Amino acid sequence: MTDPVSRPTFYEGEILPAADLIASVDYPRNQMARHERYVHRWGIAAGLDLTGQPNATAGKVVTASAGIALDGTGKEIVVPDPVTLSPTDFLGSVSPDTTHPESLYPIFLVGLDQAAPPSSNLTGACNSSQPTRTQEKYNIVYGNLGDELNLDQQQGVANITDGPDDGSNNPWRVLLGFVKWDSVVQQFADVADFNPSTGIGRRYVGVNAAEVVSGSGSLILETHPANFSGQNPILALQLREAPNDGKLVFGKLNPDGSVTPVLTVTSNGNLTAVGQISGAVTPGSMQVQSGIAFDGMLLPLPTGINPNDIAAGKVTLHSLVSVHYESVSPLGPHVLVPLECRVDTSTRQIHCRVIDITAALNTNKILPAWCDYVTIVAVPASTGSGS
Amino acid sequence: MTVTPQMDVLYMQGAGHVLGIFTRASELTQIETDVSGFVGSDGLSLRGLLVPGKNVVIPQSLIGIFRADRNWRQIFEPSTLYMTGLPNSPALMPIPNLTPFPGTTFATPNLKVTLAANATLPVSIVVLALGISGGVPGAFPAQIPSGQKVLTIPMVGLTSGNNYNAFVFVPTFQLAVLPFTAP
Repeated sequence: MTDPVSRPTFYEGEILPAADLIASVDYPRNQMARHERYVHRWGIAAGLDLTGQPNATAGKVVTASAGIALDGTGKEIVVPDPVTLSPTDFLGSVSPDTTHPESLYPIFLVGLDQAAPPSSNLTGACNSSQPTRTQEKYNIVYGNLGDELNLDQQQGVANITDGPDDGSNNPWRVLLGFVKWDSVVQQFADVADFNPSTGIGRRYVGVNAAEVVSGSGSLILETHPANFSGQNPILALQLREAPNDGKLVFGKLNPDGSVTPVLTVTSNGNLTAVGQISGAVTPGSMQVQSGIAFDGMLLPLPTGINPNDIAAGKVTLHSLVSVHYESVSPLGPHVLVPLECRVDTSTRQIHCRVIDITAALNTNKILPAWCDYVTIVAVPASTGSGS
Repeated sequence: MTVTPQMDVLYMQGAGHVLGIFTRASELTQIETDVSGFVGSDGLSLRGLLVPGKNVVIPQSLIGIFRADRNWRQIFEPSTLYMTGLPNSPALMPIPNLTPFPGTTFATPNLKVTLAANATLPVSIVVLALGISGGVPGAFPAQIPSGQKVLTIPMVGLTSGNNYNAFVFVPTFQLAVLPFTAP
């Protein structure tokens, strides 16, 4: 049985032992850790950006900026000042692959509790000074190739009532990014936030919530804060109330916090898109294509129609093909009659050939031809006239 | 929707020979790179379109697609055209030598392609081996390095003893056909 969570209480005249005072500190700390652990998702909360600046001699000096992260045990890890990554420490932990300089090595942040040095002014009962503070420190951990995989499988705390881990044994790793290594100059070569070969990048804090409620009449999801300066446009999804209406807006987030809409859905169901809509087609609609095609190719479909939808019976294909005689031009006067001009319904392959009935017996009498085609794809309506 | 009427050109990747041209009243805004909407998974079957009286089946993986301004004369004469400037700045050009490539010979087990002169740039060629009355087909994309003019291609992976036609795609020449017996 796991002990229940207990809250310290006191009474008048009580002699306070150190354990009770420690419990008074631990109670809110553990409560906060459980909140961070179960209501939020672990990751970077602020800062901790990896940047590389050219070294005076060769390679790059890599720095992690100050910031805050939460680990999977609910522990808050604070990096109060920028920290420079150490090539020596890197080589102490990693065996770089000298044949692949483009390899990306993960950089982790871990939290570590350490007792502060004893106070020189205070003494204990036996005249021996002891620490009166625990310092919440951190370590930079250099990972080998692929160590960023399965970070969600890390072992957290043993019991649901536990407080944060102290980082003394298998501390929880928070991914800050990646470095490249230059084996020639024995320095870092570059930094990256994302490893395209594993599909894993810096992980940020999140929230576990089945319901998010805004009291302002507007709710917005943003891929970065509006004032963020990066390479990619910032995207936003906003739910916004309005008198007698309301809308869902998707688009780019502007520096002033507004959203430039490219897709809007109003509360009465009207959808407006600035770009093209592809993929699913409108029920009850017909899509048309026409042109000239040649023997052997597949019948072209209207734009936006997925051939798999025809095979699956989600839409119905109608086609009309006829020989385009202008295309068949054997030398001299000839009489041509169609041999075949059809579309294979199972493969959509066009069969269009003519016979030259005036050709000599020893010449090619069957000729490939082009056809004029009209393709209509009908999308069934969700309700019919009889409903 | 484009203002200038367009046509879609299917061509042999590497060698550049035009395999067929078609039109669509409405084109996608973005140019497609996937030919699976126009060529079956078992290849593009051209019955007499490239070589009179010969059925040539081009594997889908060897076919590229390109869009050009519509030209009615070109639509109906694909075998006189080839793509140049691939892959960065493709353009449709008439084949300068309206005769089949003459420099192909076969001596078991190799098919030998010989240019008239050493290549100044690498020359991409494609050889398709298609059984006359059945047999495993073969596709042999290859390249003649600059400074050389002879390329030897072993005709491996075919049905031994069967009679085949080798369809030889060499840039600036019309398609050549060479019958041979598979080693």
